[in-house]
Amino acid sequence: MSKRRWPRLAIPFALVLALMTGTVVVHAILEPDTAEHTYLSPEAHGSTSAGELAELLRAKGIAVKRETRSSDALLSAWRLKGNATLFIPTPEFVHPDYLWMLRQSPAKTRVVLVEPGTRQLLDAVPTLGVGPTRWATAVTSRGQGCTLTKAGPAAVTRTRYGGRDAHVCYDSGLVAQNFNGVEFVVAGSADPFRADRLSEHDNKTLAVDLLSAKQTVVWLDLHAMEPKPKTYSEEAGSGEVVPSLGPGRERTRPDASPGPTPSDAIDLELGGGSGPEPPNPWPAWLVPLLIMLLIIAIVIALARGRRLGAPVPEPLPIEVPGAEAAIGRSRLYRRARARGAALETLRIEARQRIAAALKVPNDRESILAARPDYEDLLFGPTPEDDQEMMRAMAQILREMPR
Amino acid sequence: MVTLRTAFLLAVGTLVGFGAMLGGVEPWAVVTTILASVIVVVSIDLHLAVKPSLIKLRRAGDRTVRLGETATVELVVHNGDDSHGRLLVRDTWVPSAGASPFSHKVSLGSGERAALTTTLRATRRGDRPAVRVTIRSFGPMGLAFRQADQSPQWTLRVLPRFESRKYLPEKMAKLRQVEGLTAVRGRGQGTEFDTLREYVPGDDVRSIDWRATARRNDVMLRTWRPERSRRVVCVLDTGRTSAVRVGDEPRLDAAIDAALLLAAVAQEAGDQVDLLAADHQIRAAVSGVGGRNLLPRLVNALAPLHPDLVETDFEQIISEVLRRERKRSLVVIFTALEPGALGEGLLPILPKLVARHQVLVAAVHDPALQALATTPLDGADSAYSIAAGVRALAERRKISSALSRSGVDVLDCAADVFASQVTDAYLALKAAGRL
Repeated sequence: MSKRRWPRLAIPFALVLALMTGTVVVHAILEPDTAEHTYLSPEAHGSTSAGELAELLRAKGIAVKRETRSSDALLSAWRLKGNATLFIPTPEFVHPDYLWMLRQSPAKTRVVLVEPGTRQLLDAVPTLGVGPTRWATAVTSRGQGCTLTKAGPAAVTRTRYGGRDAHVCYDSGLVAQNFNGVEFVVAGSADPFRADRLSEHDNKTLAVDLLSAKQTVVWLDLHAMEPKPKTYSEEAGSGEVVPSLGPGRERTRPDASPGPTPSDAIDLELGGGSGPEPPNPWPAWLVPLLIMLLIIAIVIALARGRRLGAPVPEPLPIEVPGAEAAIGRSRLYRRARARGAALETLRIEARQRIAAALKVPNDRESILAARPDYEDLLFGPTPEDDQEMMRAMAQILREMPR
Repeated sequence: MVTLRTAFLLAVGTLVGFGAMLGGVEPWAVVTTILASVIVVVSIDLHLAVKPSLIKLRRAGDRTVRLGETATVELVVHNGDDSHGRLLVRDTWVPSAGASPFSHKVSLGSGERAALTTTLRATRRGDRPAVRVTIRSFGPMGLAFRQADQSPQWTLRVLPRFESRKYLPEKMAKLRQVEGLTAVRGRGQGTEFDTLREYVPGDDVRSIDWRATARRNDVMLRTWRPERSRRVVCVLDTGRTSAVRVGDEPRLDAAIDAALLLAAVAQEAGDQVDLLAADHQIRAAVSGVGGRNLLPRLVNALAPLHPDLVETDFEQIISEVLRRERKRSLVVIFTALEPGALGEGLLPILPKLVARHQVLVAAVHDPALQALATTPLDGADSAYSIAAGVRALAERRKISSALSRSGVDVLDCAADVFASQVTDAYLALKAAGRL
């Protein structure tokens, strides 16, 4: 018994688990690999690369400067003195120290980050926070008062962002924030920049608008983790180019300082706006109490649910009701309205009994010779309707000897 | 596994904890404390419970019981663990065994044993097995229990009711009359030579043995007795027609009842009784058993029989009878007068059997047919019912007369007098010397 019970319990769960695993696996396969060298690269032409976007920018008269190291990119942006857009498609590969240095870029530099995580955002723009992430990118409209772009609906909302005084577009999918004089733009999805999605919706306009705000785009084409930047003590005497932007007065990490606090729990409904949290209307003991009651209910269910031994199956004895075949035949007669056959059955029986009672052979001539009045009764016509049949039957039953 | 006591403990803890929460204690700390302490206590209790696998079980008691009577089977429970066992034991039988009570509560010290009595009131004939014993062993605080199954084997054989026992004295009296032992008028009119005795006035002069009279100086008379040591073969059809319920029991049960009464009487009459139960294969066979052993053997062989929804293979049955019975016997076939089953199965091969043996076809009359044929005529539906019933009865009569024509005695009677009538038919054949 339990042999059949276990699969019955396990199969639905296994099915759901397999379905979930399958979905996750398929989703992971369909996700582009950011470590791929062509991923959002301005020089590659592939489905997930951005060669087409770079060409669009060049056609618009924007210089595209590709860098493959964060330090070089930071230097290039620094040299352009604020007339540059620093485009970072893969912020997860940029070392936290460089991310922190982004805020030291010249004023009015625009930094475009593509789908940064909480850690990257904490290092780069701590005033922004990560909101809920969708399973797939959603197409949203620009929203009211968005100055970043003039594009129509675009697929940019996957991870949502927000923060105090942030400029929010595309249902929190595209957020801009001035931090330390640098304009940080955070895009919630890589879709608008990818070659295969560029032509969908209004992605093209959005991507071009984001990257064409300044005359030059410094494109950080990075596909692997970088080493930590050297400090002064390390570089002393090496004579090499220091991959840093020179000394800063505050050489302490922001997470060690009281600095601006990260706001990762943003209320997106409030549009990144803030206010004092409304007081919780429920008392603090309510949820714990409910959980205790739930546990008690589960314990009662467990205690009552375990039975003292499984039910015992037993083959039932075969039972056939009496006269089953005859009752079935009567139903067949009824369904076919076999009045003639039914009456004839009775007539045959009656002929037999009457012939026996009269002591004559059982044939038409002999019976009619003895009882001529039985002609209609025993050899009558087939009845036309139920009334006629029943009348004939009643008469036969009356006349038939027992 | 936990018990309701654990839930109660949790509820009390929650009540106390709720007070603490209102008093300002951190609610989650209260929840964690309650849960942790309950889990610890329950784990200790579970650990202290006797392991069900250390409980030894043994059974004793009735092996057979007559249907409708009560049997008791004891389950001896022995605590083989070192600690005190608080047990809830359920002795599970198949539902038709009618076991009661549902469970036994027993408290056993280390090494102690107790006998738990299960009362069985079977609702069906046949073998009723014990399925398993479930042991639930509680911890000393009754908060948790361990549970496991064991299966000490035991089978209770439920024997047929043999209600026709009540006819036995009457049939025995008839038998003695046939044998000429008691009655004067119906004196032994057998065909087998018994003894010579002296003539007394009033004896039938035709019975005087003149040779013996010549040898002795007295008039000697031959006496006759009915045949002894004849053979009776009961053939039970367990096919689909035997499953039909006549009254409130299957036709097969009526046949078993009748076969037992016939066997009891025939054995008393000194005849050899054999038995064969079959549908498309042989289900039970008893042969060559005599004396006091016969009835128990028959009852045992008949008890587990049950109808099967298959067509009876009369050809096989008859060839089996012919193979087993070399001498002339009375073959009583317990079946149903169904045109389909008999007309196509039995009738064509009956002559082979009739050539060697005296055959009696005994069938229980189905009162439902008669009821159908005599439905009061109050509508078209009842008219069709009457027609179907009359037709079924006519077909039975037809098959019955076909059987008679091929030299077979046919007995068709209601279930309540069936056993008696079958035995009467046997006695009549015996009295007529046709065995």
